[in-house]
Order: sequence, then C-alpha cells, then structure tokens
Amino acid sequence: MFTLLVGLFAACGDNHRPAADEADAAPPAIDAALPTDAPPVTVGPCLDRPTDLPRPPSGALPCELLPPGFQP
Amino acid sequence: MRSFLSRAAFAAALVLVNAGVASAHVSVLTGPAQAAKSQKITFAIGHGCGTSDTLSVRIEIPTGISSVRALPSDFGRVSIEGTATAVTAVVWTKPISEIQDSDFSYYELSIRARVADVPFSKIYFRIFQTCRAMDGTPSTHNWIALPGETGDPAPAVTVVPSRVAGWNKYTLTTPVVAADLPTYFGDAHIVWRGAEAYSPNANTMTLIGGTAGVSVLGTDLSANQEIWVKY
Repeated sequence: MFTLLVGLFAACGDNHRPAADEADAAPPAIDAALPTDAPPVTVGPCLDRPTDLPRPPSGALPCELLPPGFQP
Repeated sequence: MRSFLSRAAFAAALVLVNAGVASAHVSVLTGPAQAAKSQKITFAIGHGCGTSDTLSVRIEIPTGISSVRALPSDFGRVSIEGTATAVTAVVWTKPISEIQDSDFSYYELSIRARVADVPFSKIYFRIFQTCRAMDGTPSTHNWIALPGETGDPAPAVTVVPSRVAGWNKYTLTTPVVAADLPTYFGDAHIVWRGAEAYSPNANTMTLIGGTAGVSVLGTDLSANQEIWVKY
C-alpha cells in the first residue's frame, strides 16, 4: 500500500511540473498581438487568413462563408 | 372562454388534418442521397388503399441503384426479385393474420443500396402497394407516375454530390437550373460560382445581398462550370 501511495504521489507531482518548452510557448500578451501599424482589415476567406481575430457582425458575409481564394 | 377553446381546438385539428394530408403519400424519407456511395434509403408508406390496411409493398429497383440489400421491417418478410447481384425488385409482405381492421398504420421500408455517380439528378422508384380489407377484399395503389405522367407520383431520390464537411469544389458534369438550387443544395451553407452566391438560408441570402462585390446566384449553372459549396 505504501509503495502504491508513493507511486501516486510521484505521478501527480510529475503532472504539475511545468516543462521548460511549455513556458517558452506561452501565448503573447494581447497588446503584443495587435501591432499599431497593421494594415486595414480587408474582406477575405478565413482559410486564407487563419490568424485573424473574429470580426463583429457587419451585415456582410463573414469570412467563414467566403470560399478559398475569393477576392471581391 | 369555452368558445375560444373550441375554436382553438378546431384550428389545431385542422392543422393536424392538413399535416396528415400533406404526408399522406409514399415518399423517400431519408432525403437526398450522395452519389457513388452505399447508403440506406427509407420509403415512408403514409397510408393504405382507401380504408384498407397495406398487405404488401413492391419496390422496383431502377437504373442507377445497385448492390441492393433489403432491411427487415414491420412487415417481417422480405423477398427479392432478380439475382443476388442484380436485384430488380424488393417485396415486403405482411402475414394476413396481422392485417389491421382499418387504415390507420404508417410504415417505413428500407433498402441499403449504392447510388450511381449521377449527381444533380433524380432517380424514381416505381412502387406497387397492395392492400386487403378485413373481409378479404383486395385493392391496390400504384405510385408509378413519372414527371409529366398522370397518376400518383413515383417517389424520387435526389442525388447530390458526395461531400466532406467544410468546403467542396466541384466541376459540374451536368447543368443545374436555378429553380433546382434549393433541391440540390438544400443542406448546404452556401454555394459560390465566381462572385455569385446562393444559400438556402434566408439570413445568409440577406448577407449575400449586403456584401460588396457579391451578387445573388440566380441563373442556371452550366456543365463544366466550377462551384464551391460549403456543407
């Protein structure tokens, strides 16, 4: 029984230990993701703009419904 | 108050009656079938013949349908016409001892079959329904009329292209008239031909109209045209 408890404790400890590469992969702050000199947003397919943030409703088709490669 | 309730009950009954009339025929219950795939096709038998319960149903297998296997049903017994490799008809027959004393039953009959690679078309099934009254009087109801013919309509399977979830790119092998867009793209999110778009969803159609550089797709599609469809 004692061996089992020790084993469980060790396993839980491993799960909570942060890995060095995980710390490096932490997402950047929101401000850092919004460059001030970014070009104005243009309409385009989501598949062609995978890193864009969601847009609020605009009365026009959302990018999810524009086919790949579409240019109005 | 009682009068209001009576009117409400009458209106509800009217709706139910109308719903019954609208569904009172033989139809394909499983919706559009994907081309070049094996799938289950279920037929709804909405009513018997007059006041008689259904004794048997015979469904002829049309061109474009192959690898047919019949599923058991409430009728219990299934017989096959043709050979194991080329089924020409499937017949479901109920034991006479199970005939109902009036026509109040609804039945579903299914086959598993492969649909030919003929997207944007309809495949019609000729169906022969035999009924039997409690006194033994037989009667029939045939659902065999093709478009343009008189009589009760043969139910049709609408064949649509096989697809994956998300975007699908097709080069049409056959024309599709604009009036059939709801038939063949009724379960799509949106259809594109160049900068023209169609959606069965009214809200999405409003967005199409509100998008600069985009127009509503309202004309016939021609063979060899390229379209994008999102499912």
